[in-house]
Amino acid sequence: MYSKVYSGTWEGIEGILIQVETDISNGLPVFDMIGYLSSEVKEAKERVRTALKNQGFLLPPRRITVNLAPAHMRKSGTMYDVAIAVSVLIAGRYLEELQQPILFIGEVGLDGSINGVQGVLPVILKAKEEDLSICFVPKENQKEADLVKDICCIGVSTLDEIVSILNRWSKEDNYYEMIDYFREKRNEESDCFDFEKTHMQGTRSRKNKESEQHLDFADIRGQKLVKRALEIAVSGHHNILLSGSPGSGKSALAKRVPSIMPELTYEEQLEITKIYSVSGKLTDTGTLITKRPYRAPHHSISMAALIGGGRNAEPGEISLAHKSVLFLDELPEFKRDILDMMRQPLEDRQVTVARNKRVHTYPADFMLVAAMNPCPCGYFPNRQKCSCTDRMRKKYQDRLSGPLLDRIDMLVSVMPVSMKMIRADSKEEGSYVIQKRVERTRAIQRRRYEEESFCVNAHLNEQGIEKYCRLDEKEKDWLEQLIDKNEMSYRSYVRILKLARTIADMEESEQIKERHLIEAVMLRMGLQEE
Amino acid sequence: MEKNRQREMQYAFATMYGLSRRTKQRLLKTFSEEEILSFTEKEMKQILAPKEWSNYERYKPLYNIEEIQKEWQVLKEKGIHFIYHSDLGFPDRLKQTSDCPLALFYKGRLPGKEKTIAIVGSRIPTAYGVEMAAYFAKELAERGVSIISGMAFGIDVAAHKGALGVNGYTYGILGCGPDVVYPKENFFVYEQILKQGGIISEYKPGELPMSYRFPERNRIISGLSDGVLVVEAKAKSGSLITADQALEQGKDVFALPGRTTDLLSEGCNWLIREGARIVTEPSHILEELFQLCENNEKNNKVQNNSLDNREKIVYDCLSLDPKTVEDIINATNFTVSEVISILFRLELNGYVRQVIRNHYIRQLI
Repeated sequence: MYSKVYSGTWEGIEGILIQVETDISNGLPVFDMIGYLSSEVKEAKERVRTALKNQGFLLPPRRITVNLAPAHMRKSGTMYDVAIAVSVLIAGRYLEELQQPILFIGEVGLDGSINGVQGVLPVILKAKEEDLSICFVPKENQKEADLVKDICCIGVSTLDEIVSILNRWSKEDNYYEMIDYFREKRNEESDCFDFEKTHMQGTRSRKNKESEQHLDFADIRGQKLVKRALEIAVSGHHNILLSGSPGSGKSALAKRVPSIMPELTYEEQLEITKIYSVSGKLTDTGTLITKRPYRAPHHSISMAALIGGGRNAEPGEISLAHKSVLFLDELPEFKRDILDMMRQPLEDRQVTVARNKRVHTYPADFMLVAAMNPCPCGYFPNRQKCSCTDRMRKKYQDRLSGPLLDRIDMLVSVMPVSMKMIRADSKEEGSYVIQKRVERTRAIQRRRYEEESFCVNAHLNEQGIEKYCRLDEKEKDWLEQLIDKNEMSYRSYVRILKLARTIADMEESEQIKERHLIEAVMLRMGLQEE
Repeated sequence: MEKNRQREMQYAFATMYGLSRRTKQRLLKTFSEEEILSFTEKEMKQILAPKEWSNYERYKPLYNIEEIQKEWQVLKEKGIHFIYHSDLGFPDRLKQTSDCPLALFYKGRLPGKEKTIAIVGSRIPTAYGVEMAAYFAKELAERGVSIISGMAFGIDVAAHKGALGVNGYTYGILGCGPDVVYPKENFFVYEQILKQGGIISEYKPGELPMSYRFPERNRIISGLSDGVLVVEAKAKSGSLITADQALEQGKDVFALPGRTTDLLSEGCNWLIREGARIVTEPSHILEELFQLCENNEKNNKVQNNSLDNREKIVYDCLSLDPKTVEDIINATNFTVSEVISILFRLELNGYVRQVIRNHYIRQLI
């Protein structure tokens, strides 16, 4: 007896469908699994066999062969368990043959329970693409699976449940009825869920509170220069380096950067959620990520954790910060080779990670906000506290590689705000207002670059600069003189132009004027000399 | 021929290890250089005090004429001059001090009859200190006073640069061989000093900067100058050693006063309490040096006429104490981009200076 069902896995953040076939034929009693399996997939055999027994299905004492196709692809993970179990059940005639392809994912426990897995979202998206209409997913992953519209995802918690559902509907040969039934059930549940949510908000886990509520720029007094710089940075998606003594508020400012970035579109939300799904970071929330994540890895981070990789070539911090902010505090403390690895993703806005047979490409379109102290002790230029020599400072700053600095457009120093300033009852601009301005500036850029491959000023290429950053003769002369006088490189020139373009866009000025250039030069200068 | 040989002897004697400077000077009262060099160990033991002998025995310096001639040749190739304390050109000021070096090595030239001022201070000064050192050096150099300093980081190099900027003469006294650039970051200053003054050292070429050499070097700094100006110094710092030696040598000590809470002014304030001349502008030093009352109303204020109203407001916010852009924004209530633009123009026209990123001071004109 032969049977075939679908399961899925993912590569990068794209789902892949896997066919699980089972054949039961005469011969010595053996349970064999083939299809280039890693050890956790091979172990599925024991899990499935025991789980079926404990759910009351006795396997026939015959030769059972399970194949996972395509057989040339290395398979790892535990999400095939349910598909294998169902396929065996069909082949063993405990279940009717399926009338249409159905996808099963989930891990099976020895008692027959079904546990949640990673990467459900990309698989379901792929299933939808391939016109499958029914998926069985673990109950834990139901919310995540429900993000995909127009496909029926049924959350189950035991194998028995699957069997009873399939037996109930297959007898009538009518899956449409089943789909309708579950859709209705889901709608009811979601109403119920909403009710629960509104009532439980007060008691919801407090530990998530900070990450949930959006931090606001209004919380920060003073720091006008830095705020202005950050607004420019976000408006044109420029990378920025903050330099300042401990306690001056670098991290507090960086934390609030996502709050002034434009609202995410549905496609962007889905993309981010996919990344979090495959890296297994979604299980605690289980819903669509609607806010830009803020990633701030510690400087002891390994290459695999930052860039992506590891045994299963998982996405790294730069991908988890996709469409958002990657904050690297204490930039000189990071290992230099690790920082150098970021150069290529910064240019390409995606990263390709190869691990034995798997080559994964993850999106990594992030804005880099880095912070550093001005000297090893951190208190320069306060000579009461700092006694670092010029040489020590230079050595400290030299730890950053030139090529990385080349990809950073702006440098601002953050000074501690005086107590007087903090106590002063000044009204600070809130994130919402800044965000609206940023959205307007971004819209101008989107309109201008409609026919280009990029949509923000920071990604302007050579031709783009020629085309969109035209200067008048007067401004051109002025800038050239300045470049000559300060012995700046051509790359600096390009960066200044891009930055000036953003500043001009913020004023809705199509022409780049001298004052825009001046501000750009001031925010850029010092990056090379220091 | 004979003269050449004598020079070599003097060189060999001056650079000889195992005998302290004081011992050498004592020996010179009775013997000639040649005699001392040709003494056998036995004779030496009789001449030297036990303590001196133990030191001598440790090194056992052997007089090797070929070695000396080779070194002498290298000296010439490197363009390093050698001057012996008995030579005519040897600086008088230094000769009069009690602990005068036996010989000097120098590149460039030696200070002549002109007035000289040593400007010394901390290696890790504040922006204010750097600015004042450069300002005093510039003002004094413009009036023909040579600036002497130690070519170290901070105040020293600021003073050198100040003098070099107005084409004045300046001399760097090193605590290592005259061909060793230390700290090497000051290479460009070193090169320029060779053109506008000289690099002077008591140590023979190739000697490395050792910590014990710097206090020794300090006595030459004060010895070569008519007065010592201490710009910024912590309590118990090397600059105070220089000031101390200057007093011993009978030179004037000037000190720039500072706030009592500033660690870096502690040394200066202490000096003032101990009787050093308090100095707030270059003319005070000039008066002392030339004994004349030059009524030189130095106008520190910029000809503000060329600035427009808003630029003037920003300029007036600034002082010699570095102000951050943030401070200026708060003081003026201008927008960030406006303040940045004004600062940029002021800097371009030389009214203000960015000492470190986003920190501005007034440029003294």
